Amino acid sequence: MQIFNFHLMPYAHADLDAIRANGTAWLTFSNKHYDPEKGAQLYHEYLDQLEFADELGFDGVVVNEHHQTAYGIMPTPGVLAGALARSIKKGSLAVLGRALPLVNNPLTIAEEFAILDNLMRGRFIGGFVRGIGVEYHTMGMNPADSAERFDEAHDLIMQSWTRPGPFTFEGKHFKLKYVNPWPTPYSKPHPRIFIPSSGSLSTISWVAKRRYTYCQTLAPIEAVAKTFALFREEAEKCGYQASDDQLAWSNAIFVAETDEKALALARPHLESYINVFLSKNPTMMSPPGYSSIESIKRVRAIKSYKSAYQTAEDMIARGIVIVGSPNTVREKLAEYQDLAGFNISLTKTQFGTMPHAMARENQIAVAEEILPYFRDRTPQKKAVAA
Amino acid sequence: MGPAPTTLNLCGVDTPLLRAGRGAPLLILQGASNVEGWLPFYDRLAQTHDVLLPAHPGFSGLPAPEWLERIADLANFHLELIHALDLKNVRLLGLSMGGWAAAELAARDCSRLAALALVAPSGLYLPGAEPLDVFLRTDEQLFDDLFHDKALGARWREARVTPESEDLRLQSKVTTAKLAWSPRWYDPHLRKWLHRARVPATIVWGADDAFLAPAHAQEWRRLIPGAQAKIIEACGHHPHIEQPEALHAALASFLNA
Repeated sequence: MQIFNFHLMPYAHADLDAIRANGTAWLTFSNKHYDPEKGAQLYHEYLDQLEFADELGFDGVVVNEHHQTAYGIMPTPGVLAGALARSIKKGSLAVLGRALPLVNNPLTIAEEFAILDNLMRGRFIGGFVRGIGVEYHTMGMNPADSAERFDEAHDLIMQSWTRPGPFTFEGKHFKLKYVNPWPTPYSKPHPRIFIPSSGSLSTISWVAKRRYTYCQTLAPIEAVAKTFALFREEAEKCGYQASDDQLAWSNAIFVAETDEKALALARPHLESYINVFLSKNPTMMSPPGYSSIESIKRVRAIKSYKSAYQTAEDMIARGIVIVGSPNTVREKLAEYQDLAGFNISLTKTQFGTMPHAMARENQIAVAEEILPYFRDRTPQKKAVAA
Repeated sequence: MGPAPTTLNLCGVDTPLLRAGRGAPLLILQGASNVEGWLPFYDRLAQTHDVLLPAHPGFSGLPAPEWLERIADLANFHLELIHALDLKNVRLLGLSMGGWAAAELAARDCSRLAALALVAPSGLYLPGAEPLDVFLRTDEQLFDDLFHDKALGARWREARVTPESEDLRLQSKVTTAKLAWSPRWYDPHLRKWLHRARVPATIVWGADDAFLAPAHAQEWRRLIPGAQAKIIEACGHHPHIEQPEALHAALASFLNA
């Protein structure tokens, strides 16, 4: 299994009471709460952590994109990927992903990814997302156009990478007289593509059809297993067998000497992450037209959206995160790998309010106690009971 | 006796039309805020006029056709309706989002219109009077926001926000977002051509409209030549529901045009 180190870059110094009073860390949480002195320090600590991950032997480092929120301060992840590109010497560098429908000229993303892929000499992984619902509020884009713009932007980017320019692209949403980007990607025909999603059937089927890698965002492991099974079914419908390398699980791992110590140390940071930084406002997260009426109703019905406080124990028990002694974490990760059948783990080692020193210790523990045991491990198919 | 339902195939959409009364034709373009359908105020209008209430494509359970991308498309659709029914001397009454469509229609072609009335229409941008972000409000909250009389709003909420109506409400929201998300509730090109609405026009606004401030009424009055603006006290975004008598009085010259 490949284990990547994934960073959300939360504004860890956020006044949690102020977020609670506002009801959400997104959109309406005023940026008067952002202190650039603290923010600058955080950027350097987080970039240090990702460079450290490469030294420690993680298979790659991952950044992503969110807007106008204390949840993550990476609205333009390409800048941070650029800052990392010359110091990630061994592993891959992944931007998972850029929100295609939110830009007016997707060619800028094709250019940005192509530069990164050149800098990385092919060790770059590009991610495409629609952006989560609230991003249509923050970026002013019409959610009713989201799915169409995503498809069209994707097609434009892939054509710009694989078809000699200049050519004309005449879409419904994007109309470009000249498509002829310099540079083209270092990887041929194009960089590896990962598609993160919360698990909508239409996305699963879309990713399977194009043989990209599907990344399941934060979810209980049982749901992840079902989603990955669905992906395999969709791949079969397209006439091929999905490889384990096409399935990535996004998680958080925290390792300490004992289960008790790990839980005690991780608790405040896990609980701030899930209860304070993540948004639970369905009206904000699911703007009209972003998804089908059926999925809006499904999202509204999901209990966790309205649910009360989630404890660290809940998150561990549901297999959303793995926390414990080296032995516990190894057992759980192996169990989950076999259950869901993934061969890539996108692992956060810093989350919520966790300070730099603790995140570094956790990275070392994961690198020493976990990575070596999984380097050559693939999902073991259990005999199915009759 | 209630209105007679008919269906009209227009621009590829089977469009339900409710019609009642006798007299000069009075075409109502309704809004998007979960108070659509035949209302007591329309019975009142039907005492003196031939009242026509068409559904909008993409609302009231009608599919959203491919061509429906902006309010101007809705305006062209209702122009088609006027011509299909060969209506003449039409009193065109537009409510809220329907007022925006009515204004677009009048700016395009007012040859069939005798008078125009816009009740709390969206459609213009007015600095400092930006609309409430209805897309961040739940259906329940909106019934509180849009009424001056909160008890009346609560009664409407109980009647309209039901599990059975969920699909209709979601669909109406999706179409509304498609048409009004960005620019938010206006078309920058509309104000350039409003002077072409050469028809007696009345603008009516509730004094306590929390969605669109009554300051908009003066902007509409300024942009449509000869228009008059009337403000109704103790009234939110739906004068036809909250203050039907006062609205009827405010529309006197429109009805008698």
